[in-house]
Amino acid sequence: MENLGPWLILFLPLISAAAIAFGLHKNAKVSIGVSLAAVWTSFAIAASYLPDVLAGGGDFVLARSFTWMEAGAFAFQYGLMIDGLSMIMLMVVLGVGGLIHIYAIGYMDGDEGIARFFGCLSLFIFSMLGIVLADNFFQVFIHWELVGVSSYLLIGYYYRKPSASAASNKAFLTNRVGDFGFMIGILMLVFATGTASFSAMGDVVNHTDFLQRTFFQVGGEAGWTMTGEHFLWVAGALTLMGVMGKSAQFPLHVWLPDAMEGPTPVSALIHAATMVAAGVFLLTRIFFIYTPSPTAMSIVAHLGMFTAFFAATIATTQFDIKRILAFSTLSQLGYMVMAVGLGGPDVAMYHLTTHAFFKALLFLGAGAVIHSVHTNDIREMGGLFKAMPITAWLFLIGTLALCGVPPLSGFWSKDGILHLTQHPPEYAHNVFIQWLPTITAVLTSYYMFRLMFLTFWGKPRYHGHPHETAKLMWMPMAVLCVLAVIAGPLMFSSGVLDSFRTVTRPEAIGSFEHIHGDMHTVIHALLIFVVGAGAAFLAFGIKVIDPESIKQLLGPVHRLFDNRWYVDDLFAWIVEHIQQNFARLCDGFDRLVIISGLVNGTSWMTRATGAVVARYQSGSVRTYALLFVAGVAALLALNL
Amino acid sequence: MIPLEHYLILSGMLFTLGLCGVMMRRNVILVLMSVEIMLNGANVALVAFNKYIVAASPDGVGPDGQVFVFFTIAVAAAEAAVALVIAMALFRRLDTVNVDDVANLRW
Repeated sequence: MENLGPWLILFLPLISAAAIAFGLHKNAKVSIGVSLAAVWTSFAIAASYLPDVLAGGGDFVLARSFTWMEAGAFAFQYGLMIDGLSMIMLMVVLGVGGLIHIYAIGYMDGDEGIARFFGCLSLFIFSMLGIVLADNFFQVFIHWELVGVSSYLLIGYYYRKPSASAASNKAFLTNRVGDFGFMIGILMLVFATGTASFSAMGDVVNHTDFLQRTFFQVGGEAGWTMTGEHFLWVAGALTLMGVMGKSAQFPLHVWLPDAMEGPTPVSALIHAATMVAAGVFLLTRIFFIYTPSPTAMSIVAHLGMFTAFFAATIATTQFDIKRILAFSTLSQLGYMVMAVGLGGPDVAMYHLTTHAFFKALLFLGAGAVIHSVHTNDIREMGGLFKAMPITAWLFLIGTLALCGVPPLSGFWSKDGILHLTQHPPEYAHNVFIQWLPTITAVLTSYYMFRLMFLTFWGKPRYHGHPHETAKLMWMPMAVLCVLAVIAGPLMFSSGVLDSFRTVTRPEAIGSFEHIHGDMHTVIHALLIFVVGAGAAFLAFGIKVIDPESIKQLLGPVHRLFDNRWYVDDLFAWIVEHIQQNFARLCDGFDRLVIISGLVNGTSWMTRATGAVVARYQSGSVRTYALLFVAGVAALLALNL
Repeated sequence: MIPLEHYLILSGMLFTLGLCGVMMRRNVILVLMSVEIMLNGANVALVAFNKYIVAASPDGVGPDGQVFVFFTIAVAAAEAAVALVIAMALFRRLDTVNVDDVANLRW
């Protein structure tokens, strides 16, 4: 058991997926049972390591690996590593994942493809666990792609619907763009350090002369020299591209809102709690690549900050309940990436964890609402508080947690990030880093309460008779709700936070205690909440402000937000005008030069030469002898 | 001692004679005979070179041209056997020994 445990955590979901694919899928009930059993057994095994991790205070590392293949001096290891960091991620992936499995039984009830759905869920959990447990870069890359495939399968679950299959293609292709840079980044790092293992790579990079080492020179001794530091930040920026794809950072965020075409449990699992968190998790895991280079750190920080603000502005104008949550997820992921860039990967992981709880709760709540009123459009909802009180209360608590209202979990982690923005001296005069995160927090409260008021308050605008959601669906939501309330203080008081700090940022251990009873922080958080939620209340609660007049007032700014900053249009334009024309050019080159010129030209030449040379095949032996003698004579004459 | 040039002139004459025979004669048997003459022309040159090089070297050894000649004679015998069989087959099938009549292996 001691030896088998970590492998079981990883491979149980794969066994379940394989069993469903190769036979069990004929029986929906058995498939669901196998899938649930796999994820909860994995959870139980993972949880059995939790006391050791906590007792070890973060020094606990359980590693298992074997050599998969060898190529010369380079051995490719496949290994697992359980430390404080992967432990918390295991809890999130398996805990939230397990709850969503239960919810999905109710949500997907009666769907003909339900066995396929659970098979894909198991495959996804396996892929994700591979990233969490990986101890080297190549393994991360394999599972990174596996996550891409399984999310493709899940987003395109309703494959008969054209928009769903288009969305799954978009998600996959956008991720491929990021993965291209990711792969180059990985290869650069492996080339520079000679190892793919995280711990060995960390040792090499932290070695003092690595940063001064010369990689290559342009223009001799006097010219420009690429040192280890330059090399690291280029590799870091390329690796960041992979993170931008998976964690949906600007400008590779375009797939996430479209991915809402998938079933809602998928949105909750993949696009709130796990897959999109993979990027942030990886950044935390390879934080040592970014620390030596202020340039790389600054890129990460600004990328996250911009994504956070950018997505929040878009969320204020959307009407699709799941898309609002999707943009909100983008925005929160931006916060996490920014936190990493500001030197607080532990805070990023903290926010990742609390966010996984309340955002999964919100998505599941949205799913319950959609299940009940059969539409995604919040303009056709309204007044649902009376019809579905349990969902409404749970949703409200999730919203408050997202808005960072004390003492809910979102307050602790978001405040940690906002506190971080004030911390590094090099950003003291950077107005963007100083103010945009706070403005984003205000926007967050605004769009979430706009969503709340339009969905649950006011006069009913829905059709039909909405009903309270099934017990199987609200029970997991209730568990998530409890976590969303208590996770913040629970994490640092139980030592979970410190256990992964040892891995990421040891100097910060114990630093969250300052928040206890710090009235300044509480007032700051409440002020943000009141301004944002108050504006939404005035516009959508008691309707003293007409939203239309604000739209008129903002004019082009509103249009910019409403059209998602034209990023999708820009990509469409690039594809239509640049990529298509380039493709036409290549096609023309192929037809004219390659096919007509080279391929057909070769055959023409052969035939023409043959027609001439064939004349000499007269069949007369004496002519041949004569030619042969003439040839030998000519050769002799040349040599003499 | 007869100078080397005499042998070489004889060899060249024999070779040229054979060559002319190969190119001019139409009868396949005569063509074969001409080929044998060419071979013998070459053999004369080999033996002559052997004699002179061995005589000129201080320890009295050198490239053994005579061995080459034995090889040539053996191979020529085998070749003649094959060629005569071909000539016989030709005569049986096409009823001719004229090489100009056998020109149907052409483009």
